[in-house]
Amino acid sequence: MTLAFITQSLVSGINVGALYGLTAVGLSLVFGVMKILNVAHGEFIMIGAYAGFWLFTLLDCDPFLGLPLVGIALFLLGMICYKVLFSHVAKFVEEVKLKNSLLIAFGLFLIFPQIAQTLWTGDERAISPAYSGESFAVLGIRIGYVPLGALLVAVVVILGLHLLLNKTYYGKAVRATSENWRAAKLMGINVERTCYEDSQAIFQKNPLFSLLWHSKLRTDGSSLGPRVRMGTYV
Amino acid sequence: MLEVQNIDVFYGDIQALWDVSLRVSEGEMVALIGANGAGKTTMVETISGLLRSKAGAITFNNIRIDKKESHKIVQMGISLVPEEKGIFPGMSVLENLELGAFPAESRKHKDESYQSVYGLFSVLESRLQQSAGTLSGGERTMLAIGRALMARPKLLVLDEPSLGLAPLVVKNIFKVIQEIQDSNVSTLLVEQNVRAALRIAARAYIVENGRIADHGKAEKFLHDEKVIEAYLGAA
Repeated sequence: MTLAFITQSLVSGINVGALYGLTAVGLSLVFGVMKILNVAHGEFIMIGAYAGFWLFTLLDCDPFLGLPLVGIALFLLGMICYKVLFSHVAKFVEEVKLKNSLLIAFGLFLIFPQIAQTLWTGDERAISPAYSGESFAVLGIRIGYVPLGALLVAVVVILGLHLLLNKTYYGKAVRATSENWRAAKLMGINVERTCYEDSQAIFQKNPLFSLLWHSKLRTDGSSLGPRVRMGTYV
Repeated sequence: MLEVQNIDVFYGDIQALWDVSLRVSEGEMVALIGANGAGKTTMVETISGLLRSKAGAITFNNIRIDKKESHKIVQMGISLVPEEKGIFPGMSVLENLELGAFPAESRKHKDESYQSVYGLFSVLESRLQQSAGTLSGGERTMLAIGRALMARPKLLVLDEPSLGLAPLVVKNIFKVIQEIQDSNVSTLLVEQNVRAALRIAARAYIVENGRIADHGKAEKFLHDEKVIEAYLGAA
């Protein structure tokens, strides 16, 4: 009984941990490469979650299959945010850039939940396809389909990212930029563009987290951001 | 090849360079010498596009480069080895070298470039998988120079390559700089180690308080009492 309880907790813990890990990867990449501390990271995820929710509710689109669509939507949102808001501070020296981007991100962090609340109320929403809440047993341990799917996606994405960063020229340029921004320029790397593309990659990945979070937590929409964020920083 | 004409450079409101002009010809080695804070690093950083000039022009093979971004200038064939070396400490020696060949044109000749870099710095070849942060000061300098050569530059700009290195290591580095020069890469060399620099350079510019105080054949300065007194100490 006790053993089963511990194992069950462990399985659930791994599930939650993988999601936080995945979320933190995005946050730390943006911070490491662009020196932008995006405190509104969780808010972007919240918006992605809503996108997934509406796709499911209005169009009956499966949350996992809908990932690419949400991805494109958030890619555009991320691009607009970067172009309109963050690109202006990109030319400053690191310290100034960090402080100013923090201000902008805090702004987004205040604005996004308000917009979400106004548009979609503060009600709790859940994406509930037929398989949500279902689980199967392995040696007496219950494993949910949705958490398992989320775990698999998390593992695939993190591994993929790892390969991208370590095996491709582009990935190495991203790492070099994060290690020494000035020296990366002297290698002939277009630092500005690397930052930009990197931000796109991250914003694009955001919806992934969102949906996974959503299916996992069945959270009330507009306060998802803060909850995710606190966990991610930790 | 490189032509710097009457540039003024500012840090905010503070002027660091006044009316600086200098020239590096094809295959030539030119030394920039002067005291700490005279503006030598400012000059090479402006050439590399890390700093912007307020007035004047910089041309490279007759193309204006003073408004171009650093990465474009690298692609055109000017590589700077900065004073702080700027290696990527968390990446392996091999990855550092690989990133040196980032411009598309250099990437095509990557394998050739590795061989010529290993030829100059055999110690790097034995440390390829080691992370660059674990290298000694001398090895870091070698890595930084090797990495700059991976881009196959037409003009190599070295900012104080001998800084903080043991005399024996400095001797080796200078030997390699001489070899690079012999392979017909033009070099602009910033050095505090004035005697060594003047011995291998063809011409030299003396930098004082953000201005070019004098220029001419390196040999001439090596026997110039005023220069010797100011930068070499009493001989």
